[in-house]
Amino acid sequence: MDNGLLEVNNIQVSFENKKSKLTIVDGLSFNVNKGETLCVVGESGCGKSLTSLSIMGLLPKTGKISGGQIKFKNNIISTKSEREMSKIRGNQISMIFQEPMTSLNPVLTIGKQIIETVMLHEKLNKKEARMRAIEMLRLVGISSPENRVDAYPHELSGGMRQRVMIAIALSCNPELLIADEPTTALDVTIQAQILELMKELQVKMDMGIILITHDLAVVSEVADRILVMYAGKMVEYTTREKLFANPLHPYTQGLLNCIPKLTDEDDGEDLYVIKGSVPSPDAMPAGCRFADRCPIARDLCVSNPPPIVNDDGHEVACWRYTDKWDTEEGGLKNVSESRRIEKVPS
Amino acid sequence: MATAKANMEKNPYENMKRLSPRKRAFKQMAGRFFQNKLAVIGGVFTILLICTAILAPVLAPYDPVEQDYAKYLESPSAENWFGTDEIGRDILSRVIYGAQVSIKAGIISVGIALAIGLPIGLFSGYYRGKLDEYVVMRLTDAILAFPPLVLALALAAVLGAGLENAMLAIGIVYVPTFVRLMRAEVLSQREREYVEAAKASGIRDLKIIFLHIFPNCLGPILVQATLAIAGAIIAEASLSYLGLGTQPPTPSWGSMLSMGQGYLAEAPWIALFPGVFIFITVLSINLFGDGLRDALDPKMK
Amino acid sequence: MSVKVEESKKSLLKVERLKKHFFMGKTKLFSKDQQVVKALDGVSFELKRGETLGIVGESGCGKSTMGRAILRLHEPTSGEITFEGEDLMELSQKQLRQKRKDLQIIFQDPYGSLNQRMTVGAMLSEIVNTHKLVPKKDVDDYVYRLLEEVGLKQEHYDRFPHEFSGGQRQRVGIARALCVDPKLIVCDEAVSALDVSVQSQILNLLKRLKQERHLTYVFISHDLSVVKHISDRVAVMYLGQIVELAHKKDLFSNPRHPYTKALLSAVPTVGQEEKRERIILEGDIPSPYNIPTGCRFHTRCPLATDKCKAEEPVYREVADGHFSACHYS
Repeated sequence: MDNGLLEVNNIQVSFENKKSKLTIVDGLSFNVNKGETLCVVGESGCGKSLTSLSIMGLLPKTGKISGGQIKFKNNIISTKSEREMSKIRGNQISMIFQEPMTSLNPVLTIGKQIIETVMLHEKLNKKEARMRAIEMLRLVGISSPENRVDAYPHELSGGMRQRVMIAIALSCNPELLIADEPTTALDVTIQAQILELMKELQVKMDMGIILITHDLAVVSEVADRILVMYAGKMVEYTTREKLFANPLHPYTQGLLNCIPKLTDEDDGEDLYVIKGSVPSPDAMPAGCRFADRCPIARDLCVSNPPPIVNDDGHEVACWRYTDKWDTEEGGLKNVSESRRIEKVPS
Repeated sequence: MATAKANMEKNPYENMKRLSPRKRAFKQMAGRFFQNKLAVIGGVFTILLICTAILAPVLAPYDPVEQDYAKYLESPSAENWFGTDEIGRDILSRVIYGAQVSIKAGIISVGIALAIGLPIGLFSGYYRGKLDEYVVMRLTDAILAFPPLVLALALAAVLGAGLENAMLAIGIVYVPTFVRLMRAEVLSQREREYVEAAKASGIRDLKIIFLHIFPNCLGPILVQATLAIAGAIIAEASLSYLGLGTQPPTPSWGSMLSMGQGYLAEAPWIALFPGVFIFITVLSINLFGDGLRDALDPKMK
Repeated sequence: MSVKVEESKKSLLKVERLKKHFFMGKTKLFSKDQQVVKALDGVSFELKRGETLGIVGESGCGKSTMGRAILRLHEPTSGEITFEGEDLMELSQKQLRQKRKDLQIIFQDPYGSLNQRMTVGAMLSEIVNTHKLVPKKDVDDYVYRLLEEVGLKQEHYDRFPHEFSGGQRQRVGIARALCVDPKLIVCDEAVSALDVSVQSQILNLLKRLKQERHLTYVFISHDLSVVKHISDRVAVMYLGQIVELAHKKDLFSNPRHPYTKALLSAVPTVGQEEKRERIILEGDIPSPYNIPTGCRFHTRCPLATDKCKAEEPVYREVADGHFSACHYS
């Protein structure tokens, strides 16, 4: 793999205290190549943000990577010390967060904050670093960066702040950018600007991007490959074209069906509903974690965790695509003919 | 309502058993409280101290005011566990009786401050307006501008010497603190959406104030109140020292502490034991209050 | 505006020239100038019984302020609100409290809008008792019915808000609004804080309740797809004013105002094969402290002319039932 950048192998992220151990992310594998965007999609609590924090080595104190490994450019980084990680962070891997206001220091000008990052990672003097900061601000599309460089975060609008965050994240030419819900707090017109900007910069800098989001619409606009997560597990992992053309996992199908779309013609109808809610991490089902919400679940699903089926690069964790599905063991009782959920059930 | 009312005839829930929400809430609260070990220890000590105060006549080995010049300034011994003071009184007995005065002084003066301060703070913060800004706020400013002890002293002097008046004076001195704190809390709560929601539901202001806002403000008030009790015990001591609080020979921890000052070099136990008890009392009430605050918050687990 | 008689009969709510200005602190110590934030700057629309009016716009456009101003939760600065022929602005506080039975609101943040120290049952019964909706002995049953109606269970009666999931909390919020049997409900970003799978549950619930109880909604959201799904007519707001209002089919297929066009083109869509021509707006929304002269959109409008900078466009009916505030629509 020449242009391989990040490789995540079967990682587990757990939280431990004296009494108990909670595994929030369980057996997740994916990889990111240069110049490619991987989108990690899932609902709140599915472990998508923890995954990104574990790549950055920024897990909270009580959490740790309890299994698997993360390789960055063929070096294992999941076992690196905090000190070694801090050299990689910012330099080669950068991150942007959802809320730009809380991630920026309110008492420092944005220029100072960019300069600080630049000087931490590169040998530049103050003047050069300032020039670099202005250049970065121009790159992210902030008008009159010479003046804005001395502005404080509160003097900027939400979209501007997110641009500044991107500028800080990109100021050291990272090879991998992790963006955790970068546009969720922004308005649609601003969101469009930021997504456009990220795409543009990706091409310019040949970066790999991991975009973490709950918004399938955003995903369908920017992703090359998509990883769908549910309750800490991977449920589906494939390219964007395949996922949207032919989603295999019932959860992915449900997600795609339950969002109202601007292009929908019929609107009197009810939306498709995934019944129930996400299981809590301390009471995860033994079998498939989606089984109790799944419209096609069988006995097999309830008792056994599904294997990952790889159909020509389209990975899906579902019993339905195994040989066992139609056999006796599948447990057909109580379940009607297996079907793909096409549209809203009446 | 059509659906809700029409179906009511059937009424399938008539015989449903359930714990009343209040009981259930209380059970949960107690559960949360007992999980916090420090708070439980604080609570136990607080109760012990109160029992000591009540049972003083039974517990005290000697008469707290009986003077025995034969054994003045004696260090702690098997006979007098805490030693004796400059006129031969048993310190242990005085500490036990002193608990009556000190705990009463602490609780009642803070009670007075709360009774006056909280309603003013509540209404003033909820309705804002000119009365709040120009009368309540400026008045509290004015009171807060005095050094608290000097003010208490002046008030006690005007009211006349005696424990009751001392408690009243201390209480009044604490009023502005609680007005301010309550008002600040109300100001932050009244902008919350749940208050807006209650208004939108057509609930009357008084109900919103007492049923919705007040319980959500309790946390900081509880903590401040426990701290104030400690302060009040000390303040009572100071007033007693100046002859405006408890009248000798009745013992109070504060007066014992200040009397003991003069003998710190030759008989440190005179000041030490009341001091230790003030410390224990304040600490346990504070831990108890802290635990109570956390237990009252249904979010905490 | 000429309104036919039978139409006015059906009209439930009529809002005219509604303004809400916030007066901020003085800029200088001795100056008399106050900073004025024109959060809502002359909004007029009419709502028929049983209709859902969607309000879209970006943050700071005044859509939430409008929702609250209609209910007089934020006292409007000026304007008229006519509800069932009655002028709400004329009501005393006491009358208003009673009127609150008819106009309800569902908030965005289902957690912040619930009193965390009260059980759901206590909260709902308090409202039922306040309005004396049913005899005392029937209150509990009434509340049980209500909980079931919004998809909760009886045992939820004794739970505190923090014991619920996000979707369930929003159901509680809906139960609170329904509790008084209202005629109009303002849904202020009611599904925005929810996960998509829960969002569709709540949207369906709102739709079902609307039919069963003959409700009228003002549905405020920043999410155009959601608004399109649930509304009959849609109003687009920008900087405190409605810039376009039309039946949703008209609005989404034939937007007249350049802002609406830009907004629509900016919405990402699932699984769209051919990429649309996207209008990326320049710059940010101006601050409501300092509203641009002329057309308030001219600073970002790709089509702006000198006329737009100088002259404020009139909000008018440009086609049947299609209102727009652009010189060129």
